[in-house]
Amino acid sequence: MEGFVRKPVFDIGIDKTIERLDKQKIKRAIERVLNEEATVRFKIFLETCMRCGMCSESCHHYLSHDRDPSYAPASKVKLTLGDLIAKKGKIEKADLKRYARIAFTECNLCRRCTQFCPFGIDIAYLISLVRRLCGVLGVAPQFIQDQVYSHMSSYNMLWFKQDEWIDTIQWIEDELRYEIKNARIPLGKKDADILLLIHGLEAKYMTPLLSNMLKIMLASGVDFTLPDTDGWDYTNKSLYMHDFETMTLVTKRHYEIASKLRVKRILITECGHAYRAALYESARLLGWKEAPIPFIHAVEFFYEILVQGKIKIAHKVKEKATLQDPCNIVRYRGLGPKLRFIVRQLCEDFVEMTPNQEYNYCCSSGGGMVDAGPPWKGARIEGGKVKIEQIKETGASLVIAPCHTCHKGIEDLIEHYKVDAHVKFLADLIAEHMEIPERLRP
Amino acid sequence: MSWVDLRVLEKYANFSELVVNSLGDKIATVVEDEEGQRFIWVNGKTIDGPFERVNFLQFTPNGDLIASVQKDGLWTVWKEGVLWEEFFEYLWNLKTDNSGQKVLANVKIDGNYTVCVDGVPWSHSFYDTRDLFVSPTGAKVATYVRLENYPVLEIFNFAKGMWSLAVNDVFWDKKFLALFGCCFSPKETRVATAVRLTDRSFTIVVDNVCWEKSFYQVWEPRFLDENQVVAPVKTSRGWELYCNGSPFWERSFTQLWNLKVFPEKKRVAAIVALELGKWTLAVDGKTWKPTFGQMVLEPHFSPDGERIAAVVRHQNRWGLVVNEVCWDLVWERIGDPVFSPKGGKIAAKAEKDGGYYLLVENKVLEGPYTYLWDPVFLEEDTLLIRGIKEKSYFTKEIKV
Repeated sequence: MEGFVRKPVFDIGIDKTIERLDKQKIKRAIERVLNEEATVRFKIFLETCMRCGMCSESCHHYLSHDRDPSYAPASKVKLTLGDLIAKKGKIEKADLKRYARIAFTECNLCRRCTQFCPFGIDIAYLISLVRRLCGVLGVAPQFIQDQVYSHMSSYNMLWFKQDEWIDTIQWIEDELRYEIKNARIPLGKKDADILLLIHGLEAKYMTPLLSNMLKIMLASGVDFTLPDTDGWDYTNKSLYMHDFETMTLVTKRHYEIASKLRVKRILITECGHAYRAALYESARLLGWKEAPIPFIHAVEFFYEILVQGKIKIAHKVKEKATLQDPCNIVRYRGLGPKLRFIVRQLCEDFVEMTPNQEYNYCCSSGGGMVDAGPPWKGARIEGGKVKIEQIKETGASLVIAPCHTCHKGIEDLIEHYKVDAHVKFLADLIAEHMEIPERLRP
Repeated sequence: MSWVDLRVLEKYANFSELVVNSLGDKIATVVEDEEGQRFIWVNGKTIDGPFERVNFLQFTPNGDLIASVQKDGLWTVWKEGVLWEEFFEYLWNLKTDNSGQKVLANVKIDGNYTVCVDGVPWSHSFYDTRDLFVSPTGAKVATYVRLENYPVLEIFNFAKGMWSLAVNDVFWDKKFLALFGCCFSPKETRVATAVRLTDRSFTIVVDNVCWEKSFYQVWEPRFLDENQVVAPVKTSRGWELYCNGSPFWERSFTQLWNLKVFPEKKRVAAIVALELGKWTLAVDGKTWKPTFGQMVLEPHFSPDGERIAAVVRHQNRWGLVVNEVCWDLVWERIGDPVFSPKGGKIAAKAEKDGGYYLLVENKVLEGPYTYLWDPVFLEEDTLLIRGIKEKSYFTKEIKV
């Protein structure tokens, strides 16, 4: 394909899978995705695009690659769906490989471009269709596929066993008692107000973060529970390959647990894509117009308990801090002002990135790029040049990132580009800086 | 009438969720002392302990108190003061049959996983077991089992399928990507489950035999009788109800799930979405007129199979719909509908502004209380209320 020049990257999930496909399978998948599943907006969007180029400057991949036109959003659509339509679906395996590379590793589905398109074309939707096509054929980065296979059978991203979940929470409960007197973490409590769901990583590799979240829950005095069975992990990584079948299975499970326990709200820790999936992508696929039970993000929860005085910040963060606006909670859901309220409560010296809020740049790891694993680390580091420049310009040594993906992505950017800064979650900062009520002090 | 002062619990370092028996004469919890030792507490007194941990404390349908308990780092089942002889590395999903006689759980032994029924572990063990199912009389016990243990990232092996179902210590030879929705036939002779055959195809399996057709997606099946299994399946028309692999209801839906069957009259009720955000029930293929914007939970048949009730959510309030008639949608939460023995009356607990109320046929009869458990019909016209008021547990019989 003319103008599309990339360093070769080998990914078993893409390359080996494509080797095993035949033309009939590819044809059938194209028919299914484009004729049976895609809605009318797919054709309208494709026909409406005037190639005006307004989207180009909005894309961090385009800017980070010295304005290489093949990274412009409209080009990415042209190089994938446009190519597919032009060839009337008669594509070669090399075409499919290019589609997968663009869709999974050169577009984070951040939707910044949509804000600059004079026609409001949802380019991320079009790229999502390419991911869906690849997903139907089983063509996706190996590391994402591994997580999706885990979700299919265990409803979590890490093949965690049921006993490991209960044991982990009870172990964390024991540990918490060094800091919170008689800490107790209810599991499967009926009629609690809040069902807390967590990120799979928090149960395995990032238990200190989970401890901090639980510490905040206990200090705030809210009535909460965690599930005592599968469905505790909200991550739903199947969104990345638009595996609708797994996405809906997982989201259905979350709302089923919530309705069975009769909680009033579901709360998730700091994550972007899962929030979007549960509120929009998966919810709609299941037939809901909106979340059937209120589904709130940690940012909304922290804002609420600070405003209501349920927790108090004892001492503020002194170092200069800046803030990453995660696309899926700020651009998609408008949590920017609440996020800033929390950050201003926490930090003495807060400086905005420019641009920010809904115009902020993606961390370059979103939409599954960080989950695509080591083969694609270089791609997200390259695509993140704009982000690291933004961070450097603030002069901040602390980057607050209330999203697992942003957190890991920016951590890697900081390390690669050797910037003197570090990244923190809100839960870590709040837990470190809040006042532990007298009644809870050991 | 029972009455237990719950303020005594405040002297303990901790106590867990309170559980009550169906007669209402016992209230139990797990209490903890300052050293972190756990004790089983019933009606104001500790009756056993100390244990390192106590999980899954519950009353069985016949009134026995059971729990999983940890001693010296190992787990076993505690039933009315008697421990199973064998201890395990872990024990969870503690359950009983409908009579409460048979007690079972998933257990971990020497790093492998299996099921233990009344203290006797199955002879087979597996790399993993998930979820536990028991038929009404306990004749059949099933769990999802992992038969292969491929390392992480082996996606082409995962695609071959690793999971199966084990029933009464015998595992199916077929392997699937995933299983969900295990259920038993009314006479407990057969077992069905939904399975994922490949990344993008699903079907229903009955006693290790797959339906001939596969589908884009399926949801949990149910037995209509010993030989007929119904299940929601996704086809190019949308979601449809199929029976034994063939269309059962005529129309398709935006969504179709939560099947409930009344086998004696071969009735099938399901929750359906007619379009995005328009939920209702479909009974024997006919949809109900009232629709709800947010949620309709599983249908409940009356004992005679004539009345059907479901919890609904609309405009951020909960209520009940009964045979197409909607109760007041004013509640912040509402419990499952409870039918009187002949099905003439429906009761439910409901909560608003922090107070719990007893509803019977859409009328508030009692409340507000600090908490209410689901009401129990003692007779057609007599209800037992079990609740908490002013830090005391109480029961009360009322005529309805």
